[in-house]
Amino acid sequence: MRRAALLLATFAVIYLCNFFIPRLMPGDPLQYSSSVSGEDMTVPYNAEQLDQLRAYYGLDQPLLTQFARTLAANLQGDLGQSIHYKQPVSAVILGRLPWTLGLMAFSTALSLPLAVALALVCVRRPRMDKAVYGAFSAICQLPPYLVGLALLFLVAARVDWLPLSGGETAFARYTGLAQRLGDLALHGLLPAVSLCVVSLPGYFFTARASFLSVRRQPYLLAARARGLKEGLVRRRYILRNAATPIVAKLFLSIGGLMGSTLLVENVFAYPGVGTVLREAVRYRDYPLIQGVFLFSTVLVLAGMLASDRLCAGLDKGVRQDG
Amino acid sequence: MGKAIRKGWGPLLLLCAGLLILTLFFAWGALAWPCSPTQPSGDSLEAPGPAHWLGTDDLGIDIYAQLSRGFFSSMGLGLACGALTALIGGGLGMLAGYKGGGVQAAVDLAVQVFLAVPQLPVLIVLGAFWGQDRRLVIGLIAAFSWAPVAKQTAAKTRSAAHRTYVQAARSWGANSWYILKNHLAADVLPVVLVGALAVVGKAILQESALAYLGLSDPTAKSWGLMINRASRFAGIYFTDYWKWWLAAPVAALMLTILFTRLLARWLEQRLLEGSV
Repeated sequence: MRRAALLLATFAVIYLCNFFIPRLMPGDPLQYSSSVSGEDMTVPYNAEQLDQLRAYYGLDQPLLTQFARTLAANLQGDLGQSIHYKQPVSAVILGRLPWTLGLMAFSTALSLPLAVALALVCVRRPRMDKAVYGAFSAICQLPPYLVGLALLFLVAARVDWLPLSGGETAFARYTGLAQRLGDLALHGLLPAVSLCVVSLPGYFFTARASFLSVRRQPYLLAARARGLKEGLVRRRYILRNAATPIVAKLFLSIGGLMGSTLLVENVFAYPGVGTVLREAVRYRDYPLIQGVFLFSTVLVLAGMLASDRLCAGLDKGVRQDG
Repeated sequence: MGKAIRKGWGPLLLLCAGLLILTLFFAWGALAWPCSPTQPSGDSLEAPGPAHWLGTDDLGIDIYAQLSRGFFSSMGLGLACGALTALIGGGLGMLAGYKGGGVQAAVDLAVQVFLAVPQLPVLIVLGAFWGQDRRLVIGLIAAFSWAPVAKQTAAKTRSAAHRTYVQAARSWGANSWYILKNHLAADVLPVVLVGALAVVGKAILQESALAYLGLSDPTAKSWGLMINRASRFAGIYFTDYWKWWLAAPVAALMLTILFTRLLARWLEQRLLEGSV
């Protein structure tokens, strides 16, 4: 509960900064816009036009009134109007969101089972464990977007069947769902692999530690003494009991994964939120930048909260058992 | 015994040697290499050769010279962020751990808030407003890096401050500054320094990510910006240009980040085991 309050307070602080920092900075957006559309950007607004525009955007109101208005609008899901896309920010983000979440899910679907399987094998083979542990300690320090770039010119540029960029084949006509899914997977493969390179070691370390602690539990001895098959012991007793920290780690790593995904998308020109963010940065589309930021903050904090609840639930369960 | 030490310290020597080689290689490029990192000195997109070890980019600017300039700019930024983090994180951590009570609660709250913020999106938002100014970028990265250092420093200070010799000194009338300086510094400083070293690699990475997104000073010669320009070059993967124009900064960045971060991690583990 205390933790939830803290995360809520964190969100409040971030939200306040997000609102006030641009408004307390010297200058205002209208100084940098031109009253003539097109290439000629040097014609400034006259005083009357400035007043009109300030009134239109509500910039003539006191800061607190502006804040109340923004808050009310945001609570209704209105994040403002994107300047570059000329659409509501929420519509732009929601349109791209499936790509980003899909990519995050795809990379997790690759890395999590692989990490758990590797950890299961490694806890029983010390020599292999040592090698994998050492290699992963180095690999997890590599930034995913550089890995993505390296994969792009080392792998994708050399083989024919891997696309260099994009999320799907443009103007493609699919004969069936399977073909469409195959196309999506092919385009998502390299971005997902670059994300995996960094998240795989994280899951591996957590799973390994969890398996090592479960392995010493007396109930395993009891289960084996009852003559249960090794496969059953592994599924029912080891995996199930070791799962909680791994799932908690999954939720905790949403923050890092999110940041990496935003960058990796840009490497592969993947049509997700990350590429929108880069466009927004290039055109100084502040409402969109702030929208993406608020959205990712909510996602990360929700992940942390979920991870906390999970751990709290586990503690409770242990206490009831003991 | 000697063998055991050599075995344990092998990675440290390897990492330090790697960093030293990188530094010397790029120091040569920055100080003794005849080509300018900002002015064209050859044809556009020349392949690596004796005149240009790593070739030239689309404007005919020598890549090796640019990489060398970029190395010292990245390292300078990383070290500045590390120093700033050590000051803020170490200072606040020691204060919180030593004073306890309300001060500690306040610092704890700030640490928790900063730890919960998703870093890259924050840096992008603030970078979009302030990214052109290098000093501000250093400040921003440090502002989102001090929290873990403060947390560890506070814990270490707290445990050290409860030792009997510290209490003895206090009962003899030693003031806070004297105790911090003479009794706590030796315990706490390694934690602060290792934490700051970890920030160096992270800062280089974050700055390169910001530059790659186009959020840095467009006139600076940073690795992120080089990667940004090269990867935006149309059809670069269908030519041979990526072999020197894109692969070189990517490799340089990867090696630098890998060496600094592994070094920090190795020292951190040694510190936890208590053998440094």
